[in-house]
Amino acid sequence: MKRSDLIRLVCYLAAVAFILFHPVRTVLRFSFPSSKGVEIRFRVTAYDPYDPMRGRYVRLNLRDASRVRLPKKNRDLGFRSGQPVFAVLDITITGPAIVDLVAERKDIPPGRFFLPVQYQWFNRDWDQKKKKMLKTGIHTVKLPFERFYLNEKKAPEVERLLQQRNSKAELSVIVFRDGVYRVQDLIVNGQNVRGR
Amino acid sequence: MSEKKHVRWLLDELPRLREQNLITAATENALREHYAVRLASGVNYFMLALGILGVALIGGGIILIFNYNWDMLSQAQQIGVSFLPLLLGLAVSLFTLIRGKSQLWREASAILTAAGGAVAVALLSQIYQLNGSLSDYMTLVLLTSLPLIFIFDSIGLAAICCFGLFSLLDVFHQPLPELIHGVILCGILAYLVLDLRAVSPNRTAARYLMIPVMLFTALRCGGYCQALMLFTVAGFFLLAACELADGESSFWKNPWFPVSFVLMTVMLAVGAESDHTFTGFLDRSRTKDVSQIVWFWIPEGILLAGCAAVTSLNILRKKKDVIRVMVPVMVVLALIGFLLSAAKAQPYYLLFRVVMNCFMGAFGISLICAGIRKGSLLVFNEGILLCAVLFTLRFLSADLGLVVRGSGMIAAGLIIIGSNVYLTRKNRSGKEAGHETK
Repeated sequence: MKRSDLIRLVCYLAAVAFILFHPVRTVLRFSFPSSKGVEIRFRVTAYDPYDPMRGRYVRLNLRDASRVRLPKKNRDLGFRSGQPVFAVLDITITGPAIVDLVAERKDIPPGRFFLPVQYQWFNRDWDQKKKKMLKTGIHTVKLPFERFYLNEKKAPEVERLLQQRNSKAELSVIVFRDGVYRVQDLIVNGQNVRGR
Repeated sequence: MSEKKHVRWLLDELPRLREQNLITAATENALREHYAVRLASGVNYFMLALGILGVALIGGGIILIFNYNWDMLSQAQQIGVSFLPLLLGLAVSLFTLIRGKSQLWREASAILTAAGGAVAVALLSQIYQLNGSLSDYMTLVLLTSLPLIFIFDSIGLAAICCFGLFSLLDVFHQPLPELIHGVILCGILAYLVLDLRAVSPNRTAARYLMIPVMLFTALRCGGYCQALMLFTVAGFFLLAACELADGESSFWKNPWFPVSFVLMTVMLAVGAESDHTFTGFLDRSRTKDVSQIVWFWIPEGILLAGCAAVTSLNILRKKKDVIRVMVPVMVVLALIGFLLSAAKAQPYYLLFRVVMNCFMGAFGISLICAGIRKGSLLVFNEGILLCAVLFTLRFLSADLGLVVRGSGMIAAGLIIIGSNVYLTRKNRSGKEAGHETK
């Protein structure tokens, strides 16, 4: 073996370790989590798209959860559209709620669950009587759940269920203390889609 | 008759020549050894294409079978399957490096390892239902592929990465460029610049790959004033293409020339027609983001410095053809246009447009004259292209009747065809005269 090939071999092994770092960390993080996460359920509407690269999946729309009126910061926070921010969560009996949006991770109160989101825009409230915009309003954010992957036989069936009147769909997400999350399941009318 | 047929005929003749004592046995053997190399079969591209198609079909079939039975596998099995392509890449790469295999094997090793890593990340995202953007995914894939390009000296993987760069562009939101994107871009550029050296066997491919990389740079970093960056890119690559042409690179080995010339023509046409060529982001920008300006001026500064360096070298070496003189003038004009827009000097916009029109016309006419003088159809037609675009712009915006427009267009077409025919005949008669004197 030539000396140059030996150097290449050492560099290659280092490069493979570099490639493996992210996938191995993902497996360790989700299959062997260091702390117990909490299950949060978001109300969603969904439809079943298909593309040749991703196969069959349910596209999720979290309109209710992504439009938030912050109790303490009910004003324009100066975030630009597309800026990555952190949504601090409050988990109540009625469901999860975003109670704060912060730009820096250090601003998150200790012990609180949070999710990385993408800020979209701020819709100001309209005063009907004075016919003018108010300083208060609703923040719109993009939550990091857009797709739920399914077996290609199950996806159309789920879409049929979702099209029925009064159907209720929830996305079950496990959120860990360090802001890491994973989508657990899609629950349609109380039934787990994965377990169907 | 092909070269191989000639060689075969010669080799068949050798025994007869020896029998007639025209050559010795040693000469026959020497000639046979010398010409046998020419008969060795090269790469059979048809078989290679069939092989690639076959491998792609087998791979596709395996993926479909796994896909169909995916839900039957436990999560641990699914994770195991996710790492299989990477393991395959690892095995092929180790075989290649330990056995010291050829460059083709090295290319395959680099691409298989990079693809294996990409598949592992994609499948794990699907298994754990992790959502993310294409831009984030490609950032990770490109970053992990970068070392493999250098380790295997893989132009194939570099080509894939050059086009993969475009997936980092977010069409809907255009956030500021990130440092990690800068690292990926610099890595790919470093590899291509190394491959541009005359000793590199991949230099022609590297020249072609520089084009998408520069386009990506202009799209990603040029947001502050895209027009100025495009003018500078066109200028720098035209000057560099002139250097390549001096080194007697043929037309197909010098892709910078046609691409940058067309880009320059388009930019000159836009500059000659619009008052707002250089405004763009300067006027639209609500937030004066410093990082946006920094991200713009780093590549722009390097390109301007490159233009200045090549121009200085041309002055020192006393190379004064039309393109080498006019292109630096064009870059300076673009800078003036940018400064006028930055200063919001609207009264001068019309004057600047007039200057751009005059410059485009002067450039075109100079090229036509140079083409006639040198007897070069290429240079002549470059000038014709510039003049034709300028003529069309001015002609279409003029308040003229249909008959006049029609007649004008016919006249322009006839002039182009006629002048080309005249120049071709002139060149041919010149060559014949040269042969006769010889």
